[in-house]
Amino acid sequence: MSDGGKRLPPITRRGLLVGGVALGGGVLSLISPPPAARLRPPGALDEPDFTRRCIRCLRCAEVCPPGAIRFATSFGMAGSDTPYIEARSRPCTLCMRCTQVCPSGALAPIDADRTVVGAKVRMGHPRLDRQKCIAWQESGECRACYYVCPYAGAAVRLDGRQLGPVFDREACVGCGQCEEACPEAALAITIDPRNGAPS
Amino acid sequence: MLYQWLRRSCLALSCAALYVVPAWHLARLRGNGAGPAAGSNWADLAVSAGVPEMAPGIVGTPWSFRIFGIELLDPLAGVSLLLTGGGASAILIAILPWVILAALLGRFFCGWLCPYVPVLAAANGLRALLRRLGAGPPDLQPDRATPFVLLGCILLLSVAGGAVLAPLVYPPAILGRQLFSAVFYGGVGAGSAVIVLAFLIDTFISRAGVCRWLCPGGALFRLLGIASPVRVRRDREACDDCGTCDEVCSLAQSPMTDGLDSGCERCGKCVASCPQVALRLAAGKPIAVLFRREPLP
Amino acid sequence: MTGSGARNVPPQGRNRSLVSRRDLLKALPAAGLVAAGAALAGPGAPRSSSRTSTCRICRGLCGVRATIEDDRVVRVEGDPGSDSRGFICLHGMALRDIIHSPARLRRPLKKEGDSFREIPWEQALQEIASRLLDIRERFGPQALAVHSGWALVGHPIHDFLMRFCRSFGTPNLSTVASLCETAARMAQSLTTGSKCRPHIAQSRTAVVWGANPGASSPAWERVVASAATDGRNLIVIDPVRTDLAERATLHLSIRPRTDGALALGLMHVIVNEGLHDRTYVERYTVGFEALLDRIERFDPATVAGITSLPRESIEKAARMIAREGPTSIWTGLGLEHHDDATQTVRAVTILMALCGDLAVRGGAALPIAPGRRRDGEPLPCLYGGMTPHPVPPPIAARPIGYDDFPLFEAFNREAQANLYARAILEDRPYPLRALLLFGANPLVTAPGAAKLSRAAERLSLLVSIDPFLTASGRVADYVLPAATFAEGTPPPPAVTPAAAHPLVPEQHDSRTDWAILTGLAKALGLGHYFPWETLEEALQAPRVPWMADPEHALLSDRLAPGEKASFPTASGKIEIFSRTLERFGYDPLPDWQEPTRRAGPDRADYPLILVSGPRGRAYVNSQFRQIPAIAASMPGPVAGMHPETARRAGAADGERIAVVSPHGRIELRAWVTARVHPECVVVQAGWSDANANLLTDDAELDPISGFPVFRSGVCRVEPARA
Repeated sequence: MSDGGKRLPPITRRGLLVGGVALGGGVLSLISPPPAARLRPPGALDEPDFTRRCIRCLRCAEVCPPGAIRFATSFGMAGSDTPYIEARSRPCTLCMRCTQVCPSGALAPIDADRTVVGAKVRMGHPRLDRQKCIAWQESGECRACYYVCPYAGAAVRLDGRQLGPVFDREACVGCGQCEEACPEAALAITIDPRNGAPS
Repeated sequence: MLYQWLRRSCLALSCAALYVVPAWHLARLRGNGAGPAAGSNWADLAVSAGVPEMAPGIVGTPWSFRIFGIELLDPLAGVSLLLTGGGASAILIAILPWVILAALLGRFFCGWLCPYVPVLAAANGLRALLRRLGAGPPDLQPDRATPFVLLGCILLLSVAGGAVLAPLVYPPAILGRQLFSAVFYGGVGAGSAVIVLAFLIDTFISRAGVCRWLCPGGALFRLLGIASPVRVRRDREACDDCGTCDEVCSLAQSPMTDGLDSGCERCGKCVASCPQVALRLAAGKPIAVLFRREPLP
Repeated sequence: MTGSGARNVPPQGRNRSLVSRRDLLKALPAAGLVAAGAALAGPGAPRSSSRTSTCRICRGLCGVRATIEDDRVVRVEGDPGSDSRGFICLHGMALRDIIHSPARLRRPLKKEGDSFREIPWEQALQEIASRLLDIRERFGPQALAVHSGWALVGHPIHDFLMRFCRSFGTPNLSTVASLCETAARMAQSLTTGSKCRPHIAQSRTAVVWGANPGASSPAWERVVASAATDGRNLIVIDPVRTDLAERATLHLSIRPRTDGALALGLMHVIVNEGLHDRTYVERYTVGFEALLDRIERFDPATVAGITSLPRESIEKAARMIAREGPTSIWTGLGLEHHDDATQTVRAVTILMALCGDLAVRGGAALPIAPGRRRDGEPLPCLYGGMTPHPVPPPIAARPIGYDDFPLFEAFNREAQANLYARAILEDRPYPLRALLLFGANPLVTAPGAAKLSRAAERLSLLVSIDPFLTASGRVADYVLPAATFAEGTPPPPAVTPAAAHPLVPEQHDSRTDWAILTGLAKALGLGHYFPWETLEEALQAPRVPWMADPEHALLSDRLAPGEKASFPTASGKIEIFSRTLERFGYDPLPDWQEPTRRAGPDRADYPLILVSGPRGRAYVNSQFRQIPAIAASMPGPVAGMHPETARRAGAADGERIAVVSPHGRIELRAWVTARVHPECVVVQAGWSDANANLLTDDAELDPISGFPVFRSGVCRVEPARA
């Protein structure tokens, strides 16, 4: 069947072609710049470990009551199809169900207890742009972030004559409910993901 | 016969589950006022208010499944995790049922449970149609070691990149995600392009090309099931060398010539198709061949 | 024949058709998958719209802007273009969860045995009507009482609830006025002829007395808190160090139910140091000399002992109020939920009079002016006294509570609901056998829950009209699903300002209060009194006076000839000495007495003061515990107490404890904090499974307004039973 010389048989050539394409594509995808960092569901391990463990099963997304956990396919395979939360449209409500169904421990199980969650969950850090904040700019009457914060008083408090919000990076769990509540005319709050540079 | 009926029922169940389980979850969440635009902090509080309980009975897809507390993990996921360093004893326990079944039944997952089968069936149907129209697509075959090489590549890249990459190219995992997306978000994502590509390969390039030559999960099941004692056996006296069984087999096996390797998925189609009833699935000496060197003519 | 491995028989003949049945069968699942994907892959983007409206959860009436997708409210923001300048609180933001809550009642329910059965609306209305007619036959029309709750406060439907009652023949309409704000309004009206609105934004010194605007009026929190900045003064008088108190210039952590003594003590200091506004007092008040006798005994040392406040704080507060005016005083239920409610607020109002702060910019604004009073009435009535044709015939019977609290009836024309249990159980003043609840939950919110529970069993008919199944609804005979204010058919723009438009249609099979009221009226044969389709239409109908009370005409004074009225009172002046109170047999001057039952270390069984029901940010009375987005801020009831109190009671923070009063016992979690006055236990109200009103009762009521004792009961704390 082979032509008796140094040339490889067609099937072997095809095999090498397939393998080469796969390997090349894979390497390309791995070295391509990662997409902007995103908020991970609560209980997520730190970044190299999270991607190492997440098997893209999306059980976390399946049990999320507000439907906050989403995923996206990207060419950069390292982060492709991993779960993330876009707080501005649908924040995490700290129910901790996702942490109870993760099969590989990419999301460490956390009790849905207020104190435990407050101590262990750190999805991201709050960043307020006072130039945009209605309270600080005194362009209206707004304390929405304070009212929705599950840890109001600790993660956010009202200060000054304007009763403007002041966030505490150490106490904030990063759920993003403030980011969602902030009026569309302001959009003054962003939760920067814990893993990676701000998006 | 009973075997085919059983097998097809399992396939149907597996495919249906990919739609039914997310739909059930969505109904639970929606029915309790949760779902988009709802909030429900704190588990016990939410439960008392009617939001679903912490631990639902059934969650996931064949890739990763939990049913009434029992965790089942696709061996490809388990091996990837063990290699990328995210493994634990829980992983080994979760893949154990599949490993044992594969050890006994070989590549049974592909014949009994893989949700890619309907796509493959559609591709085969289209191939048959095209052939009848006179535009029969080719059936290109690469080296028979290809699926194992690809498996190795995926695992190597996973270790190198520190990420579990197999679910991004493994059709059952992709189908699970896309159907979930369709149910929950009302649309499929870019990942469905891989399925479309697989369908095109299976139609226009190689018959059951994905299953035979590309699927890393299939390759792993073949490795696990290399010593499976349950196999197709041929009655030499009854067989009249008609070749029907070879025609029917999707996976490049040749029961007529006893040319079987680990790629046999025990689908039983050859058995069912033999006009002389010369084939049967029975326990016996394992095939113990990973892949045969000689291709079919 | 042996299998040699070489094919020597051609393949089986296949069908000649292009696509065989087998191929079709194989392709079917894939086709199914594709079809499913296509069907699911985009019902298309949802129809999204934005609508402005007004949130009516509380009296803030904040303008809101709602995003609605496919008839579902998905987001609610404050409307920056409205008077509330974009403000919205937790409840407003949670409207999307409230309206679409899975806990909403779907269909009318009828009690059968121990459970409910869903029945159609027509059947429900017919059965309720026939039972009402039967009760009227046996006990008289006054055996029916209609009680509305917080959801209907300030609602224009109130006039038509009154109309419904009187066309049926019962005088018994009651509202939250039985225990909310009315004592203060009466006190202010008895003194100034009008209710008093504190003019906080323009005042130099603001006093927040027995109130917590941060929780009860969140839209006002910044305005009030800002009184502590820029050289102004904020004085907070509260047994709890609230967030507002933390920001205040001066916080007086007062022993509950001694506010009257404090007010008299402040007046004592002010008068003694000559800090009162002599001109104002001379020109605009009557009774100043008589007052001097009264405040004589309330010297700072005595008051310090009574109130548990440091003497220096009392003097400092007095000087601030008098010297650094104009001074506004925001009073709250912390002054009214005691058995001396009316007199306490009288004292506070008179304090303002001494400082010349009434009807003054930066002091208190008086919305009712001379000339706008109705002739012949000693007090301005809350009830407008006007109704469209046909006017229901006058009724001879007086509302429940008229004998005990005649001034309350004169002021409100309502029944005093705190006496309902007595009417039901003892038939005093007459039997009460039917109760319709419009958005009310008295089994949790009214004083004396245990007695009321027994009374509910004796009722022949109890109907709960509410969007949710409340504790009161659970024991009712019929439960009717009411739509929230945000649901309904939008009225034509000309009739209602766009601000108040409903957002979505009625959820499930619920109906608006108007639809339920008129449906019931029609079923009772009273449809001719309600010929309008919508409330808006009814509000447009021209009105005539009704419910004129000849008795009130006998109670009015006449001004001396030539005298001009500066204030809408009988004397035309601020009545430090109230002739009306005297005529009704009450003390015409403010005073303060020791309560008959007093907590203290000598009272070993109940050494602590029970303060129940202060506002929290999370809930509004008994509402919203079934809304997870709201309940997250406060998942369960707590009892706040000082660490010393906790130590003596053997309680630790977060542990389950029992709070016991002479009337009952409840179990809840301890919240140990130095913010709470050491003699108090602060218990949240509104929890049906830890009902603070099991600890209160309806026997001790303020003699003038009939207000309950919620915030100065007696109790003890002990560890919960294992």
